[in-house]
Amino acid sequence: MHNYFSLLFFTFTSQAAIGVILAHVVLSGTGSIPGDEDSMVRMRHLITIMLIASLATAFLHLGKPFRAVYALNNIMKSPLSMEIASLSVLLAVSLAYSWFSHRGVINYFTSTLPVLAVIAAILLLLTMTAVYYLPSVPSWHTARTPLAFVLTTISAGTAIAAIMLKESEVRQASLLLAVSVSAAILLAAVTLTAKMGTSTGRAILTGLQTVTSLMAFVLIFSRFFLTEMNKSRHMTVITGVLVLISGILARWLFFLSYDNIIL
Amino acid sequence: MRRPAFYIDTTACTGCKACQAACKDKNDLSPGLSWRKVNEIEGGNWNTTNGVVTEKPFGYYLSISCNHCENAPCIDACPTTALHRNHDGIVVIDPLLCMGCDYCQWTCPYGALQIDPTRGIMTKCDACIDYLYEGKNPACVDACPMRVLEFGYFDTFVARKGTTSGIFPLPDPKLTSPGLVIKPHKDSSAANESNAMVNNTEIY
Repeated sequence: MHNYFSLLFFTFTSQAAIGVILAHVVLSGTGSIPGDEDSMVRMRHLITIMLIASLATAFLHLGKPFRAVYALNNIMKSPLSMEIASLSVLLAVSLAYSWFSHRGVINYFTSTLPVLAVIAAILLLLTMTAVYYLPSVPSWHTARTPLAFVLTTISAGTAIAAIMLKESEVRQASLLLAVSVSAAILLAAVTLTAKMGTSTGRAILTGLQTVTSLMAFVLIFSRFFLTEMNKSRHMTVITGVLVLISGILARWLFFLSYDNIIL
Repeated sequence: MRRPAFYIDTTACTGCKACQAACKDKNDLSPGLSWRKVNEIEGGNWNTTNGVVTEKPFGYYLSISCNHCENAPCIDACPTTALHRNHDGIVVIDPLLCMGCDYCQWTCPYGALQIDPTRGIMTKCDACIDYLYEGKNPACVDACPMRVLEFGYFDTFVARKGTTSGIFPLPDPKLTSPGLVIKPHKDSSAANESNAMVNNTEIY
């Protein structure tokens, strides 16, 4: 009935991009990695590419893609309109940040861009949740939907960030703060998730996403703190890819759990 | 604005699907699209009396299309405002605005919205609005040989026929306040309380 593969790609890529944005801001904000380092600039370019790919997928899955110009007509009521608006704003901010980074421009305007990006990213995550939190779809109309999206954001974003930064030198003390903040968010999400649904499908989904999120943190910890693991950049990439594959699988299960109460 | 509504007498519907066929014929719907669907609901249990086990099966039919709900979630969900309520209270689609995102389909608990893959846009029952303007009934209503399907106003039906707007397998009427009044079959359970199953889930 629905083209779930395009929706899977759209939601996963968007949420991963949001995760990378948050990782970028946390890492640069805590001084773990300087924002002007090459790997961080590359990360900003990757975020832009991911958002462009998401928006393109969102348009191409439409029956009439050229009518997407009308998509913001109902922005006060439709969660889908709000989602598209948030994604467009985030992409615009990301494009500007990438462009100024590429040109090496640093001024007051460019320093506000990360803040704007975080605000737009959180709005996108909220509106994306509202799109799927539907009373007519009982399996999605639970607190597990926002939690699943948060877990995907954290795990996929952290995994991609770790892969992108595998060559970087970090200041370990401030990184510990960055990871601790992120881990606290994850812990809160996992605790709430544990209280959700009892069906086998949801239990598997929740377990899978929790494991992938934990793997993402093990990845970043092992990457930057464990000396032996630190030498193995291949291990970083392999673990990161595994985390991403698990996240995609979890999202696929999410769409399979669609059980509209329609006749 | 008065709420337009369908009335269905499930105690007398024979499940002939003339309403379904009339709808497809009138609106020239391609295979896979059916704005009205006659659902076949079957259930039953076993009774034990003095050690003798007897079966107690039942079945009934429920003809359902768009109910032009008072709180239509599809209207709020539509990003382009293609879905809207006209001045007669009927929920209609502007085919020139619809971008075929499918989102409204998720939000409708009655399965009333169906994408037309050849045109790439959403389609739904408009209560044969052209017929209504000519003073006629919707095609499905006039096609019913048992006269168990009627179209009119919700308040009129409630005054004459009762207040039931949901039986199994329909959702709780509180969800969307549908323009629908039902005379329930004696074996039907309340909405959201499954004591049976829908035997035909396909759309032809």
